[in-house]
Amino acid sequence: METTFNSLYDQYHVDLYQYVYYMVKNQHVAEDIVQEVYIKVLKSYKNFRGESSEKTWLFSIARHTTMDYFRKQQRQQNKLANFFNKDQNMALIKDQDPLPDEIVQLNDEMKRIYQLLDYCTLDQKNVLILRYIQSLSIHETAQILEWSESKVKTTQYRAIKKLQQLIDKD
Amino acid sequence: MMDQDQEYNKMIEQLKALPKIEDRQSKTLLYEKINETIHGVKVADKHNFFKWFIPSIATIAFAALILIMIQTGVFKQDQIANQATELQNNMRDIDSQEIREKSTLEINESQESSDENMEHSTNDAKAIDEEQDQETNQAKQLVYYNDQYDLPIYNIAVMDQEAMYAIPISLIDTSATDDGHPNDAYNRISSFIDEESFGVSLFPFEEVEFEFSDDYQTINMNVADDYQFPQGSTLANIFQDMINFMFADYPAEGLNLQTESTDYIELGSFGKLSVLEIEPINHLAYKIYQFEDKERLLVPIKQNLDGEQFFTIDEALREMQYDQSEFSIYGVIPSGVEFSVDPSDQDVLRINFEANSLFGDNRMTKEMIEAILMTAKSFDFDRVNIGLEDDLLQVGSFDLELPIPVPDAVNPVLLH
Repeated sequence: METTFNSLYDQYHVDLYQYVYYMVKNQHVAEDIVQEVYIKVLKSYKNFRGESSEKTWLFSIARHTTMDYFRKQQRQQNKLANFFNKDQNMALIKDQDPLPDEIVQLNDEMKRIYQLLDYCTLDQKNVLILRYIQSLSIHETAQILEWSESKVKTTQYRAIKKLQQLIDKD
Repeated sequence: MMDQDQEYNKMIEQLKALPKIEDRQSKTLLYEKINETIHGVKVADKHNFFKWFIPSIATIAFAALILIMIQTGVFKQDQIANQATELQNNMRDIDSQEIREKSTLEINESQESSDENMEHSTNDAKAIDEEQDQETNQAKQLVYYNDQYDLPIYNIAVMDQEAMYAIPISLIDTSATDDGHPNDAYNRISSFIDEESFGVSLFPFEEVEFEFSDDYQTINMNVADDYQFPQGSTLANIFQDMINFMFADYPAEGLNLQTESTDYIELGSFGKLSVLEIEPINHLAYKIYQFEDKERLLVPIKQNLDGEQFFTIDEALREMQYDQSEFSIYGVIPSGVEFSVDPSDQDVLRINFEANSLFGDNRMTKEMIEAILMTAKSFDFDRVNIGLEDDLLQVGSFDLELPIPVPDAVNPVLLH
């Protein structure tokens, strides 16, 4: 198991952590999710059929695990909203995690883009991160998201347009 | 001022320029945590021998000391526990014996004294037990496995009463002497499905003729020149879904549309079309459709109540907890039940449910399993491992101790 872990870690860890971190934007949550991803991958590695690339498979599991986290978070937020006020704007309960050092050093416009990623839908965020931060191809992105390539293209177009609109509003 | 393309490209460049965020956790520590979770074993850090050696020795020594101190007590507790278990077993034996004796006595008494109430009560209880045992076995199967006879299956589709959802139905040709040919089955759909007893609406396929080439690479849909596609904007979409359910298993990539004199058909809101693309419909959540007290059928749902498609099976399974009673559609997973899903294995989906009093060898649980299997199939899983109560290992014909293969067909109708 250690050999498999070492191989996966050495090849993909940097990209895996980037993906999860940019999705959740919290160091501890990202660490937990990445750990869970490795556990799932190592447990089922013997069943990996090689129909997709190892990287695509790993990222697909990372996506599922990350989406599970968001769902759990959403359920908790719903409970909170129900407890306080059903009409409360949940956008106000956005995470207030401090910016990582790497982002703090950026100029204001880049910081704003980093923050505005959270105003995209999860689909849009997934596509933007995989396509531009991870530099994956449309084909790889489609495989990870289990979408058609045309859906990736339309989602990325709408995501960028949305970011532009949000920047323009500022 | 930049034009739109430049702004678009600038945004892409800015996204690409977002920095890599460093993972501050060491690889060794991460592996330790993973290994501990998988095997329950803490891995030694070879590079920090003294960091762990002394605390470990101290811990072991402390644990040994504690063990020696409590050993006698533990043995005593074990002994007590064993005695208690033995006593419970004995009591259970005695209880069973008493129940058997009592039951014999009661039957004898009832026979002797003709105590009808007692007799009814015993018979009722027996009847309920038998009913519950047989209910699952006798309930109509909503899925079909073709492993025994490899019979030809023709997928057709009907609509719910509101004409909002396409419901696939599988015609199993039990009388076929060879591989069967779909030309016959697809051209007399209305003779197989009784709208009244199924509680469904048939698309007016009577006016339509389907024609398959011998290699199934081409499927034509022929209509008369004066054919008019049914009005209504949703009908074009539901027609597309029905065509997908019906023909996606064939190699043809499109359905050729033609009238007697034209090579296109006016398909309602789709306009004039000469080919209707056939695409498999994936990522579905199966629920129960039952109009009034008619047949119970599995209905595939493509979107959640907010109109979003499912991109993970977890989402589809959660959707299966919700009723849409206005459309006579009902969730198959009890709404309050918590469950965890592990989709990491490409072959076997694993779902574990928390204990719930509704689970048992009954129709509800059987239908839930059938719906889950079809949902898993639509997400390309081959088998599903379903964990319910620890002692619930068989529901109907499903053996829950092993991963269950996904079915070959849904809503089977046997043709004789």
